[in-house]
Amino acid sequence: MWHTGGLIGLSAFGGKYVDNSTCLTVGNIWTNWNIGYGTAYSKNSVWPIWCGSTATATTANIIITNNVVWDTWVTLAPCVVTAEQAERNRKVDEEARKQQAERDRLRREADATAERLLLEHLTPEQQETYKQRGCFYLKTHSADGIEKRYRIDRGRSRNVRLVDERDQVLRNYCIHPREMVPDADTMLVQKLMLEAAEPEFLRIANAS
Amino acid sequence: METTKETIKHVMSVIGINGDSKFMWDPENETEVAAARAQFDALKKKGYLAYKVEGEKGKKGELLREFDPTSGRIIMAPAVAGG
Repeated sequence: MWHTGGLIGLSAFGGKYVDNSTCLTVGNIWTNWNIGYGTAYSKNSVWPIWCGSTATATTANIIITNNVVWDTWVTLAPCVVTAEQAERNRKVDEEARKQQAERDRLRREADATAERLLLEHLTPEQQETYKQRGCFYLKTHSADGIEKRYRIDRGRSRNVRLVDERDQVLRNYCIHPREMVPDADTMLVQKLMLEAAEPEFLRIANAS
Repeated sequence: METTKETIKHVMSVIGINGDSKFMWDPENETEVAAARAQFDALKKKGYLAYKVEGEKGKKGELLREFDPTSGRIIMAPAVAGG
């Protein structure tokens, strides 16, 4: 936030900025400009006027006209690109597009692979629900004989729900592989863990 | 299990960011079993949980503490965290 044109009457001395009346450290200059202290030159009016007004503002004895200062700061000098630079830029852009397309392709393949694996480990009924609604249900039985019904929705986090027989959500759980695996793999991991290690699942998951 | 050239291949699916990768072994082949066991142990050290998933589709898996070469299918699931 420093403009060398001298329009605002600030200058730097040894890491501090000085306006005409106050020695300001770097950390509080913004605050000073934007909060009115009732000083003679209304510091809090400077920024809004720079950014949008067609009026003028006065800070100390310097007049700022319209939003010239801001425009000067953000307007780049005309950019002259040689043919060689343009060609280099084109190649860089093309390479970036290719890499993005490859990442997208790998992601689609990974999603398809994960979905196949998930479906291989669902019952026919779970498969049907998953295809129709993007979720499936499973029941667990604790050692003391308590039966619980869970719904695993498509997704990675906050997608496991304890539900009653009417599908009312009683509790949400958030637990997922630390690696960014495809969603279908996450759902399979959640299913396997709930069925084979429910106490561990409940210990690790964040519940809400 | 998958049958290839009259030998029964057992499969370990390792879940990762690109989907799962498969590791196969013939339970009658000591070298393959040793390689599969080494893979299993290395993943367990990284925090993976192993599930034995056999039988009818969707049947509940069983947590495996140690490599069992007779398991027809094992899924190695990466370590989980609460979100």
